[in-house]
Amino acid sequence: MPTSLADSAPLGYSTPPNRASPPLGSSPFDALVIWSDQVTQPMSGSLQELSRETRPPATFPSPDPYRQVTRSQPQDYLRVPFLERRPGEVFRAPDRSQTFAPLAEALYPRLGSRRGVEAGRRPKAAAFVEHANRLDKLGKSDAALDLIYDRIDTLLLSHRYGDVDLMLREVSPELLSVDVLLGLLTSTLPARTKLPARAAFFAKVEREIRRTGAWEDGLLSGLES
Amino acid sequence: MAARVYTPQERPFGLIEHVAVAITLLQGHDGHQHVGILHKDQTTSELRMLHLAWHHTLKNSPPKDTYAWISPPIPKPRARQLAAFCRRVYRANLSGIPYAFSPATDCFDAHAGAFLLGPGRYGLTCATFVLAVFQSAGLPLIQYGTWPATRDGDEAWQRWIISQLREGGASPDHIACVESELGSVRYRPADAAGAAATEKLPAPFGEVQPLAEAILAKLRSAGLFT
Repeated sequence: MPTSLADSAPLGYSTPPNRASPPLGSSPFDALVIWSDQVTQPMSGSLQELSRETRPPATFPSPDPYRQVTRSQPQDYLRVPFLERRPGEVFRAPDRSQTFAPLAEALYPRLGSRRGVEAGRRPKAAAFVEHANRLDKLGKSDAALDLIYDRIDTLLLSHRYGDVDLMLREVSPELLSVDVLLGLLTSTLPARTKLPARAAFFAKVEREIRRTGAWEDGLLSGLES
Repeated sequence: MAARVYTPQERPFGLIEHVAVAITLLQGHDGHQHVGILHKDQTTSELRMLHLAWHHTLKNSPPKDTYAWISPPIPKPRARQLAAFCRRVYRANLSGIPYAFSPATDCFDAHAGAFLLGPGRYGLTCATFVLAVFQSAGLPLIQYGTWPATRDGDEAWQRWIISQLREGGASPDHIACVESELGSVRYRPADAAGAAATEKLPAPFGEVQPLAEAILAKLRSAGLFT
């Protein structure tokens, strides 16, 4: 069973302050991330289609991508059709005027401090990968790998598999170097059976390395999930 | 002669780009060997040898020139990962790793991360430590299923180790655990070194054994005793 945010608190989340209702146009959200790539039914819609259902529809995808939105009230499901076509996407502040702000403001009073809709900034679980990638680009590849191995190891030893899995869903292989990608695969190898997202990440990494022409025989041998 | 096996006189350690397996003969120990992993941090250009020297004695020190080194057949990007993994293993096991005869496989599975030992595993030898590090980085050196259950001298060596642990003050509980592993398959230091000298990993026993013998012969002829 894949780990969901309903079951494990992700690392470094900043949740919005628990206010009853924000003033219109002053949403505290800078970014919004929907944590799932499990959508099976592309839907169209708009904010007006936001609705709340008291039980999951029979055709609900499994695992349920919306459970995390209502984690404190798992019997309720907040449907966000507008976002169903864009799982995993980060909606940043510049998008605010078009799509993000009205959506965030519609969600915010309902969500309060619940996890699942991310506010403010990307989780640190992904941020450390970005930091490592910056080090790598500065020619400090081994320092980048030390950061990755220490960070992942610490998370795994704390049994925070959900955080590591979330990171693997989040990172974009096309933005990372081969060394960083291999570091992520190698450091997560010991926990491969506890990381549902790792197999898909491995496939994305292989595609990306082949695309860039850096592929060589044996490069990923033994790193499969 | 085994391929990619060098004495420091033939090729200095400085030529090692990321990792190598290092092996020496132990002075006064009737052919006993010791094995470890040479790894280089490219940022600092520091070369270190990570090895399980003894019970709870994990060392990460500059290599002595009494070791031969073998460059394993792995892609360079993976070799860099292995070097990083060595650094992490050392940082995470500063209090050492127990010495025992547990298998090297899946040491990281039960407790993901730095610990080399899971439930039911009591410790490693210098050779199984090397095998475990490679294995845990997704680069198994040998095909474990092809190893003979026993070879001449293995049990005598294991009994000698137990006596040394007892003399060295290992706890009675640990001694009991190690005794329960008496008779388990022994992976020798030269096995790990021989596997690194093969052309393709993981290597079966049939390919490793002649290379291991060749490496030992080279150590003797070069006088590489520690």
